[in-house]
Amino acid sequence: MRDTLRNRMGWLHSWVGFVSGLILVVVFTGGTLAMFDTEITRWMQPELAVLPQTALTAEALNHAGEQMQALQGAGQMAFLSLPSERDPVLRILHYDGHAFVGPALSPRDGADLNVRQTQGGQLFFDLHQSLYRGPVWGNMVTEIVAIGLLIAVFSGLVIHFRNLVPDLLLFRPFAAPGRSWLDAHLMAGVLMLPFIIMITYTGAVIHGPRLFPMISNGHGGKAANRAGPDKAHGMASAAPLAPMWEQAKAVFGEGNIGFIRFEPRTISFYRSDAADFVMTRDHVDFSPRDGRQIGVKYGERGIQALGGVMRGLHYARWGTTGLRWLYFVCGAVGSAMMSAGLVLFVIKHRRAHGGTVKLALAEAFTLSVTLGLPVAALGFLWSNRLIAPSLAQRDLLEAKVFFLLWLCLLLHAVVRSGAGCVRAAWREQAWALAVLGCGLPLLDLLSRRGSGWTPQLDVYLAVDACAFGFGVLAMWGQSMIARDR
Amino acid sequence: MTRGPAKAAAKKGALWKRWLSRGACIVAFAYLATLGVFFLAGRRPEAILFQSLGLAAMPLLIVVLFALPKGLFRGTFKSGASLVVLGVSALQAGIF
Repeated sequence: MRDTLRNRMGWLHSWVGFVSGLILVVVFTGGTLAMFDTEITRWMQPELAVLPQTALTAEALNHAGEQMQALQGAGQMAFLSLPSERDPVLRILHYDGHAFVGPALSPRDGADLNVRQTQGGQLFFDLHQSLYRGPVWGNMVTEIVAIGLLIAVFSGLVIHFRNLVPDLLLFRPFAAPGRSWLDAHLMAGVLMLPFIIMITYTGAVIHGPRLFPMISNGHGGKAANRAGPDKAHGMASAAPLAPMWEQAKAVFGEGNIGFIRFEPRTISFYRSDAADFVMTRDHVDFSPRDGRQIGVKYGERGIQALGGVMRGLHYARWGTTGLRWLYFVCGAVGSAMMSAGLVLFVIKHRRAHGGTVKLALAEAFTLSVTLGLPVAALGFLWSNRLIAPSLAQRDLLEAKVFFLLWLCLLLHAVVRSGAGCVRAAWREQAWALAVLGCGLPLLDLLSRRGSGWTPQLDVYLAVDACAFGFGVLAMWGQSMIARDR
Repeated sequence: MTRGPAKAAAKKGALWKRWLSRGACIVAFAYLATLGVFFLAGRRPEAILFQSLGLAAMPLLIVVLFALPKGLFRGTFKSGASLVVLGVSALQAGIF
């Protein structure tokens, strides 16, 4: 090998791509699923399936406000999430270190709906943004791999610059395995290039402060401006929420209030993230004693709103369902592109390092992020329906099932690739994906039979159909692996 | 028969080590350069714009520096660019 530009770029692309790629597949898959985190949470709370669609009433809001004030009196930090098009219930939420969890209340009268506790789609959100490792180290790792992805993309562009158009058109699924994986990697990479650059760059900017602590994340020191705990005022919040809600609606518009935060000196009604493309934290503050409006606080404006633009582009909470599906498809194709890159890396090194422990580990990690992660995600959905709804701390148990299943699949991959049967391991995990995916609609049907299952186009059908689709895809994939034998 | 492949493998290994050390130097350089830009822009009202651009420029800088031929790469570092970058970052961080 000579020291030429193409070789240097190839080395940079393959090694940075592989090392970052093992984490990036997890980040991308988690982010893709987190695009529908609210809908997944609803699927994981089947008790909500029979809830009639009702608008939020003043009675429900006041009742929820009383519960919030009781929690505040007990020293618990929580906030109230208002019903929206995506999530039609009131929720009292607190952060458990990984997800916002808490009871769901009826928007008609504020009564507790007794839904099962689950981290729901937020598990995937946390996996996406911090690999479930917390906001310091987890965010830092995702930030580093995001920059790694940008390096891999730029170096990949230098390598393939002359062939971008042919790469977009050429796909030979029935060619030799190495060739077809390369075609898939190149085609998906070129097709999704604008999306991948946009989503990675905005993600890197959002988590920039983790790597460069001196820079602002665009929230403008929101937390620092807030009043600290004040025991003299802490118990004084007794004003009903409904009149405040009406005033807040007059400021931000009907349906544009996202959540309510309760603090010792203020009750703040925050504008919904879905209200505008620029994601800010505009809020109207009220006095908890008499409900008097204290003021309206707007987020950054002008050039300072750039942080909000980045967050708006990345989270797409302002988008319609169609846009979220577009992000979902682009994210899924992006994950597939990275997985194909990982497979290409191990195929390339199989010739020189076949039978070594290093390669066996590389093969095992590749398999466990490519197929092991989706299998564990489906296992997480299965555990939601199989674990008793009233079990204490069942939300943590579900998360444990997800990670334990994923660990088991990693061990399976290590053992099988260590024994030189990596192809069989791919087939076995593809079969697991097929069985869990194709069986999920049946599980949904059986577990919701008692609560009035009706066939209609809703989040339940969408999740079932997606799981079934991925199951069928996995079945086709394992037959392709068998054919190449 | 064995000398040819062994020689090629040794050459490849040497190249691998050289690229790895070059990569480590470049990443450190790019990080410090970005840090320096952030410190310089920190007090300006449009700092967030510089910060966003800096985060886009950092991976680009890494790729561009890695693409430089051996002689040009050494020349860039020998010319004192790394000292300037280190100096600006250290000065702005209040080390001196």
